[in-house]
Amino acid sequence: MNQELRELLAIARIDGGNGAAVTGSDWSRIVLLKNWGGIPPLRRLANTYLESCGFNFLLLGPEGAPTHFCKCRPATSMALQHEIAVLAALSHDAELSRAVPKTWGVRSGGLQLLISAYVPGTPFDHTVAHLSAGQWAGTMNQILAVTRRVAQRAAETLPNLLGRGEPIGLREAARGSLAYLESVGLARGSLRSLETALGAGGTLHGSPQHGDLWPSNVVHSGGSWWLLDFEVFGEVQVPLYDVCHFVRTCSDLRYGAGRRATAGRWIDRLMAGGAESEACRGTIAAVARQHALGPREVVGALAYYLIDVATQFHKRGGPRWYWEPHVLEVKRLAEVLEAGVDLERLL
Amino acid sequence: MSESVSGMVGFEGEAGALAQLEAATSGLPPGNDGARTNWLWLAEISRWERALDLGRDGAPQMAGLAEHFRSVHYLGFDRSTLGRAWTRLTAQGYANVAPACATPLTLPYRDGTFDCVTLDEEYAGATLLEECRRILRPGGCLYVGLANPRWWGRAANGGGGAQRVPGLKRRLARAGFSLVRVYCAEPSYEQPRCVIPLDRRAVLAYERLARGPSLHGRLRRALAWLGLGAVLYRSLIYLAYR
Repeated sequence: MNQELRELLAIARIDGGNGAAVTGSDWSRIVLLKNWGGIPPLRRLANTYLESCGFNFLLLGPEGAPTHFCKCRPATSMALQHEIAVLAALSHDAELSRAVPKTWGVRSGGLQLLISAYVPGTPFDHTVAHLSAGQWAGTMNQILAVTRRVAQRAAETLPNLLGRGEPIGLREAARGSLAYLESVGLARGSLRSLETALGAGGTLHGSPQHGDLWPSNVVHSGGSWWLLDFEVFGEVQVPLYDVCHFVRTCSDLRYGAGRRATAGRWIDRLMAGGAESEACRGTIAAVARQHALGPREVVGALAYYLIDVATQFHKRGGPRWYWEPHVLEVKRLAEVLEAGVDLERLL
Repeated sequence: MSESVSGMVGFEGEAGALAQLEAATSGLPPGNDGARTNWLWLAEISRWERALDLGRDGAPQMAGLAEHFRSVHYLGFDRSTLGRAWTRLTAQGYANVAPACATPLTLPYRDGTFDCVTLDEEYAGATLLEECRRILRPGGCLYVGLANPRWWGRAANGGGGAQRVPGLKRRLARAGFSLVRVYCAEPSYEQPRCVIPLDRRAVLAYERLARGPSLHGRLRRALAWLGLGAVLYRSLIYLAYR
């Protein structure tokens, strides 16, 4: 193992679980995962999205069982600093001791490490496609209840996350993203219908959102659901963002597994009717009721979610298949709204 | 999302759909550069002065090496490829790279010149391995990336170029390298999204994490449990220390 990394692990008091320090001879105890970009970042990428540059790794104990999960990023990564701060605070909260892994961080001149106690268990992406629609809906509700508890505790223990706590005007919040999507070719007609939906959604009270809540970031372990990956936690405050993202990505995985094919676009699957669609809509509606949101606000929040995700992915660049599905969802939502489909009643 | 990504290549089957959804739901777009040289965080290199890239395709690791080492040489036998790579790298601001034109069989460097040498499978012949050992300083590291000749999918896919380099570990030892460590790379050594030590326990831990409860996943875990991890991956990375 590289000496700088080894020293950081020593500073972090990583002992592999059995009191045995990680040394250079323990070459087989590190499994590199999600290796997305060089550390240090290449110079020609200096003006591109670098926050996730780096890699994760799994640290194995002397017996071969994983003991820690680590994220390795450039020392300048604000996203990882944010995640370390959030998780360090939340993981000390006794109420969340079975929802958020114990986490801490260390940093050198060029490298930053987030270290979490490994959560053994089954990631939800391994099972979501194999559940019946009813089981799926029930499980999503359990996971979203955990997410809500984490958000509530975060709002109490990390008050800075909420900023000044002012209500969020959906149209104003989405203005920059809409302008961006227009600049990359979203038709004016589509924009108008989306703006109308956002405007009808009015203003909402902010609630910290996980921001990347999808099945791979949820693990079932020891009878509890654990949430992982808090890099963008709290960046979005619009309620229903997490539930929309979670329901959509679950639905995509189930659709991708070919078990319950109905339609390619999530918006179409949402409106299609049947058990799958009911599970999606019922889950969103349940969370909306917890936030005391009316139908117009739900449609506004849904529009905000799709617009925000499409913008983020398009801005990051990459091949067409990477961002296009998100942009097409926005276009489809605009078409549905223009066609006068009563989404408010459906949701 | 799924219908757009279903035509992509790179990952296999179940892992493919998940990897693409993963790419599409968190972090960077796929294909972001520099990840290929992150193996340097796994290597035990004590001095970061000079590196030599003997890779093909216009110095794929040069920029990454140039971020870590004080000076980096790139040796190739095609003058125009060398020139293009050098122009590109200097335009990106790397002043510590130097191309040299030579046939990569005998290396025009003194003994013990480099701390690190990188090599692609095409050139991993016995003579060159000995030359690499010669120009590495004691404790220096040779990287070799290659398609895995024992990958179980190779026979199904009708063979392939990787049959050229069986027994590389043995040949590295024969060339005088004192320590050889083997890693599996997924989906390939050119795009190593995951790098797994070729060790039974590490492979098993990775397979438990990465694969679902499908028949395919269970079969892979069974092979890993039996210590047959070497057949599971398309690519291997060898780190050989002088």
